[in-house]
Amino acid sequence: MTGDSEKHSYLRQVDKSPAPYFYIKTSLEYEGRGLETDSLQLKHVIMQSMTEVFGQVGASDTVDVLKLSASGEALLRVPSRSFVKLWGALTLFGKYNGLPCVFRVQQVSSSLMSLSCNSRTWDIPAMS
Amino acid sequence: MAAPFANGAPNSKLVFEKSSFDDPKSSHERVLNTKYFTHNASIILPYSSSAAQLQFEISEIQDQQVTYLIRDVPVHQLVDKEFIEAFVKKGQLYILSQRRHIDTHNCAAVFPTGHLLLHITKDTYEQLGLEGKPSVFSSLKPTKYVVDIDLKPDSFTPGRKGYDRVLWCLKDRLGLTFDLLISWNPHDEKICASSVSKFFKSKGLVVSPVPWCVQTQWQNKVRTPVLDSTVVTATEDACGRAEAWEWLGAMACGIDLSESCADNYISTLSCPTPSGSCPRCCVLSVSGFFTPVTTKWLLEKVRNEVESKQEKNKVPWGSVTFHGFQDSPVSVGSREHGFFQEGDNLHSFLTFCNKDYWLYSAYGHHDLCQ
Amino acid sequence: MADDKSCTEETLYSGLSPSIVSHGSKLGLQARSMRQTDVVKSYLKRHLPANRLMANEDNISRRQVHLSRTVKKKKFDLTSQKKKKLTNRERKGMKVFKIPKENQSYSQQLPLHQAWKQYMEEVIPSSSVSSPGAVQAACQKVVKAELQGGMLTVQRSKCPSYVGVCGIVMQETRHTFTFITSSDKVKCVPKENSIFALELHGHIFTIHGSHFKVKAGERSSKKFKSKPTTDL
Repeated sequence: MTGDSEKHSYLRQVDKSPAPYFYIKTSLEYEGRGLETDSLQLKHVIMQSMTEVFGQVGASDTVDVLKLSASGEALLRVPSRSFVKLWGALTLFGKYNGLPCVFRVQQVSSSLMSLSCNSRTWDIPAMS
Repeated sequence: MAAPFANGAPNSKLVFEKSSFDDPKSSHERVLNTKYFTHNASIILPYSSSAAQLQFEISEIQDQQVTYLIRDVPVHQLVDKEFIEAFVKKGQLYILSQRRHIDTHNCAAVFPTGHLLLHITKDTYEQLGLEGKPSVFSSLKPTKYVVDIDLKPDSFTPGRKGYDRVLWCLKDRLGLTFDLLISWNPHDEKICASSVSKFFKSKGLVVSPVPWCVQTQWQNKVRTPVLDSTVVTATEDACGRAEAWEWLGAMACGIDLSESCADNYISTLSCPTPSGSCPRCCVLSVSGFFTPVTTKWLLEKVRNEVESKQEKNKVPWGSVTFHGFQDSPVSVGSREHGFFQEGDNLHSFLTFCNKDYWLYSAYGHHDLCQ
Repeated sequence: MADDKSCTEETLYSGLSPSIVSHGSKLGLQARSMRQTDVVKSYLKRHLPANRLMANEDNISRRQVHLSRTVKKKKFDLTSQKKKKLTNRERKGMKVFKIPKENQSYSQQLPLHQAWKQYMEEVIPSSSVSSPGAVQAACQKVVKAELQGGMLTVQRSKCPSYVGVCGIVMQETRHTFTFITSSDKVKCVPKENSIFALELHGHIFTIHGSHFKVKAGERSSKKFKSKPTTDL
């Protein structure tokens, strides 16, 4: 009996405080055409947007560009205390190198797993 | 140091449970039975050599567990007595409205318990005429209301006051229509599950089956965290639950962790230590409209992969994550769900070869969590 | 017969000592013979102030003043002069506006509705609501018109059980409408937080109850101001 209780030990932990990191799925769109961006340039653009709004000190938080897909969708990771700052900076960003551009935030979440799919943009394919 | 925002990130909830499938009190059955609407299942199998077989089996099962999309269904059709007798009272019916955002539009759902739930805006509620309660997540001036109609009681029949009022409100007062995702499990094996589509076709509605969308990714030479089912907090020998959770998310999103390291300019995310090397890792993603029957079947398959392998081809652990719909009116059971900045309601099983499992339940800001 | 009150020299001066009586003339005292009452009267006349004596009266009336007791002056009450109003309880007890059960039938109220239709035809002729500008003018008239006898429907309400209530208006008060529905049920619906619909000459007029909380009689003179929102 004792062996069974040791075998099936149950543990439950609930985290209700804000998670350590927040994840944003966004895409950078240039007016009229899609410009090819690589991760390095995208990181630079994000840093520039943070500096424009919050200054050098405000842009000191680490923003990780986790992935940049071929379709232009980027996955970003930011500590939760700077989440609102980053989203605000991305919203207010309008021009890069003189070209009008905009960040379209598609999904945000506290867990990276939930960014792997989006039920809101799910297009039901026709049955072949 | 710039001052952080006081009310920064929204409060999200993560519930971690560690248990065993052999434990009679294990909650995995209950969780999957009450998670009525699943949109996506992500399966991550490192070290597994027979993942291709699994992919084949998934495409086979698709024909047996069919779901349908019906366009422009008037809601009063769901309180039709014929419909209730044939499909609600017998077997298990799962209905969810599609392409409606829970925070701004009207949504509808029918649960296997026989309840029709209408999650409607304030304007619709004031015109509809059915009693309801304000949404749990609303402030002093509610913007969304929840109307719950029980379809199963015998008193809910034409000729009775309650039924007539409901039918009049849904039909004559406001002709609400939705695009509905429907799945029906018949109570009798002899009855075909497609009879529900025939019923709606006979009413002149457009019915189309919902195919599953299966995507497979293979990653070679992947660094995987070393996990021990009994070690929950990170130690020198094994990674903790938080690190494992982030790594699983990174694999599901297809993030390449091989080049990143802690002082890289672009990204500082890397595989947690201690880690081991895995020759091939399979990430399978299946999208569609799944009911508990499908999710339980998928969990069984993953467990099979992990637990049944011999010493030589041992798979220490595997994972399957079930993502709920962001616009579903409920998360689990009858717990109300909403969309704030995110509409997460997902459950992830990390199964070990010794039949232990870790269950992660991630909820968003507008979610009830015990 | 000698009066009891009359006194002679002996009786009057009997109290004095005999030496005064005998030497009275030397002192200048004159003996007088008068009646007792005359003595008292003359004494009082000489010693009392003039306003204490009643004019032309021989009887001196005594006035008693109780120093310990004060008499309150009765105030002139204006309120008691107003008309006495009925209290709410009395008014309800009289049941003046309650329509007896035998008259609570829809078919009996239909003639009232027909009369109302004729009245509305006079107020807003059906030919006058052809153009949009004329419809606007008709709205102004509907707001001031009498609605008793009209057929109203509750179109929207914060309380869902009022939605769909349709019937002939039997009574309109400051805060409520009382309908009689086609199933002979009397429903009293508060105006607050409800929107009513009135059909007239092919147009549907919407009445926002929250802004309509005025007694029917006073509505004709009231100026309705535009509100920031029509949200319930």
